[in-house]
Amino acid sequence: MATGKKIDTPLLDQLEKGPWPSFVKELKGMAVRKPMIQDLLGQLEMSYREKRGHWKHGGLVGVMGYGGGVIGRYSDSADKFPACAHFHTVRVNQPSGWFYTSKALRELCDIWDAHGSGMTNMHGSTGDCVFLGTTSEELEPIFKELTDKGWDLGGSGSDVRTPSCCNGPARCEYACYDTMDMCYNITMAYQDELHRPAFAYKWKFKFSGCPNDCVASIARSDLSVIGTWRDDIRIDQNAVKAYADSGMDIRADVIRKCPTACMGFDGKAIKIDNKQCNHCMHCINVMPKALRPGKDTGATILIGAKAPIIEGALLASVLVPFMKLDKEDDYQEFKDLIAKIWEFWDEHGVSRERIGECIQRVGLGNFIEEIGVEPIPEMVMHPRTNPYIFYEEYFEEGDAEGAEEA
Amino acid sequence: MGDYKETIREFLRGRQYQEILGLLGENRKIVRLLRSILYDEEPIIRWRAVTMFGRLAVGKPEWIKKEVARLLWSMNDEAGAIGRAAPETIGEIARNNIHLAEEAVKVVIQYIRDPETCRPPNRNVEILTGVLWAIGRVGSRRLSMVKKVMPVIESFLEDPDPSVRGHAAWCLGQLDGEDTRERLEKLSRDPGMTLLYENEELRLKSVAIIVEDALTRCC
Amino acid sequence: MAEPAAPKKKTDIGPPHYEQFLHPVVKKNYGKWKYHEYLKPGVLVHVAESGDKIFSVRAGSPRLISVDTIRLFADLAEKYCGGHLRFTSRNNVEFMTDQQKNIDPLIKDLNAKGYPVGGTNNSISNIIHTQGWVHCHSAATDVSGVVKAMMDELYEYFVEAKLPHKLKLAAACCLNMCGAVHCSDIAILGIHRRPPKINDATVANVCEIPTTVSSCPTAAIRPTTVNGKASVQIDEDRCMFCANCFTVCPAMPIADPLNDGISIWVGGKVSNARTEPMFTKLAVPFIPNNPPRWPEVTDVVKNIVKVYASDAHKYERLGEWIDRIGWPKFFSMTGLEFTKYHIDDFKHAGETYKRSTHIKFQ
Repeated sequence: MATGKKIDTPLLDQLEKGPWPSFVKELKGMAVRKPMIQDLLGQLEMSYREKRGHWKHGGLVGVMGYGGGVIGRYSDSADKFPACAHFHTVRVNQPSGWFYTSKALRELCDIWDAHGSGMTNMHGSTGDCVFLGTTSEELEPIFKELTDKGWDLGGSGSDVRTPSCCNGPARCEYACYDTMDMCYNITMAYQDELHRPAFAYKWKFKFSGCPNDCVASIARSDLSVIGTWRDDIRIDQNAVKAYADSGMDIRADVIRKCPTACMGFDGKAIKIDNKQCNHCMHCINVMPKALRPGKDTGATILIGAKAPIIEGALLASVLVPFMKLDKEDDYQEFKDLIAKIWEFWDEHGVSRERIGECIQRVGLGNFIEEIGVEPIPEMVMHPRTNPYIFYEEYFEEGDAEGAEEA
Repeated sequence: MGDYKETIREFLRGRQYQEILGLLGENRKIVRLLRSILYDEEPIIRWRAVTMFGRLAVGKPEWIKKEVARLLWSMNDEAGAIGRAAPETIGEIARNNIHLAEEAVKVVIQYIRDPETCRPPNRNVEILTGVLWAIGRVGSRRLSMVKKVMPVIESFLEDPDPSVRGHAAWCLGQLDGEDTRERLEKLSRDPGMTLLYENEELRLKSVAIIVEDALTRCC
Repeated sequence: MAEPAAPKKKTDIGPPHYEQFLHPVVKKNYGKWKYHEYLKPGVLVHVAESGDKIFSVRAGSPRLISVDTIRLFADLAEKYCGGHLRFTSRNNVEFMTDQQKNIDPLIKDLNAKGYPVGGTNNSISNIIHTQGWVHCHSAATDVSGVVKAMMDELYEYFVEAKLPHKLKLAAACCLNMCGAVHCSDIAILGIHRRPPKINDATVANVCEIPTTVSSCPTAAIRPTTVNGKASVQIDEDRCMFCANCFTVCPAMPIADPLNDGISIWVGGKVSNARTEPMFTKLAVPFIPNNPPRWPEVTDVVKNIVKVYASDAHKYERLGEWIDRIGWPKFFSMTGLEFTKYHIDDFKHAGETYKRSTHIKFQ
């Protein structure tokens, strides 16, 4: 695989100017010793000139024993840029919370530098560490070296995609459950489903420790786990006073901004009517030294978020308002729920239909009935406004008076 | 469900297809497990899962109706899945119950011309031999569906890889080709070895033996 | 599937357990943090119940980085942090140290190498984006270039925390929207404006026609025969250029250099803080691709940021600010044009029409 001749890139050169770190500079740095990236730069310059991409649709590549983790990519201009004719992507499952040591990062860099283009995404949209650009022959060697050092591939295709989480109790005082542990636990529990695509379409888990939702769980995951608490917000009134003394306008910035108007401040102490609190995190965000989530913590489980294709974007909706997440119990209640949902999806889902769209089609009421979950008002913004009810219960002629037939 | 997967694997090893069906009381949940087994590391287990799909195409067509679309999508999935064993499975389903997979198997057949997976220089031997196998399975019952690609199959008789030559020879043996005798005979001393799945067994055979069988069958 | 018996591979081992990567102070105080503070842009301190402190220094990264850059980060982590660092959910890098005296030298080293420190609290914290022309087969634009151009213009909002509240930007190169474009404060979306071009000779070879027909959300595709070969045709009036058909059928590519371009969306949010999560809404339906720096796009975005910064109340997210002042004021203050395209016409569009008399007159 040759050329890697230096090609002029006048358009891309303009993206080296300016204060923000430049991806063109990153590519050019690698091009010095990687003909693949030299040719990639040439092809990208052509794309900038022509205003179109030059990658072919799809590509069946992978490692033996797995059905995903590798995205095949072929250039449609291999005659001009032979060194990037194959430009496959390898997804490497990241550690929870994207915590690394320098040693771990060097390990990954050495493997990738030896077998691929040297370009990465830290990280991909799903959360994996992405190795960007290698040939078919290198896939098995990369996989072997990764697993020898204790790394594994992430998911791709119609499978469980690599779960991701916020840094939770590792660094954040807001975390209402151990997002890091749960993300790791679920990743390990569903390795088979992650590596061998057997679903109708993709499935994403995302774990956020509190309603701030720093991993966009409610927007992007089929199954969203967002930490919350049931009891009273913890208040340190001395710290409240300290904030007031330092000049914070508590009434304007906190009390009047509470969406349920459940807070009061008399100049000395904050009072909260916790039964009216909807756990939005605003007051805690503003006064982290004075206010903290309660101690009876767990998570809200929501289902069905997705991007627009094809019926429109959806946010995840409430399925279980509060679930205790017990790591001692191996999150068994959660896993039991997942098993029932997957059974339903297997039965009703069609190819390329996310669970959110499947539920829209079948009806949320029918969905929860089939998975054995009771309907509760927390699942809806409000009850239906249209009167077109598919009644399933009715009487028949000749029934005893007052009897009901299901 | 994971425990059932192990059980199904062992049933497949023992060719106990009825027991698989009975495992969950004739419950279609087994289809998802079989789908996952198509990615199994052990070749014989994967192949027997292909056979099982073929049997279900006859015995439980309502379970298999949606499967074919999923299998084809796994071959076209630009979000990074490799449709391992998808060509073979679609071929086997089409052979046993053409109504379930008529459109899909046409795509599989045409894959033999696909530049990224089946044509030199980038061809993926695993996919190519899978497509050749699928063509042989469906073509032995419906020659008209595969007639147009026979010259392409014949060209693989000269492939440097023995498993490609072997599968091409086997495939032609399944089809009633008029002119294939001469081209097949050229390989009647070919010592190259390949694994071949035939009559539900995976055997290491020489291209020469495969050619001998093929000549007996077809011509 | 013909291969000899191979030695048993290691598979299904999953990622390495995170505990081995945690800074000792993090490990010691895991789950026992008390509060955090922003010391200055890009520098956080978390204080544990034990009184221990861990400092995080956040630096911006272009996400598409080379192994040499990662090794540089590793060097800095070793010099100042005992080797400990992490990446954030928005593609920045964070160095974690328990030594407050290391912060300023670390920032100096990062800046010297061209990596700005910032992106915390009420700032712009990097733009989530997708692969674009660098790697994606369905890209209508190149978001790496757009993002670089935008971050150059919005740089001051990364290195200083001076906005009313957090501002989260995202860019996606097509409607598949990998990433959270549908829920960001400001989002860039690559779009097509013409139907796919059907390659009649190859459709039947590479596509299953029934699947292709049913893939269209507006039922715009019908089977047909062209020169004796089975193919498909598109009813152009029904086509909304979503490219779902191209995803399932490679023989109908949709990329069109003349007509592809960028749309701009505003007002989404992911978090539940104060108000519920919201989708982004259309601000600008189309700007042609103008590589390499897309000045028209960066001008519009910078203007929106400026207007938001000058008018919104403290703690108001962009979408919350618009909800308070109303969309008519938003369009007049930003000078953006309101067109027929801004009015929804997909399923349940009627639910977005204004059905009250609550109107502010300018």
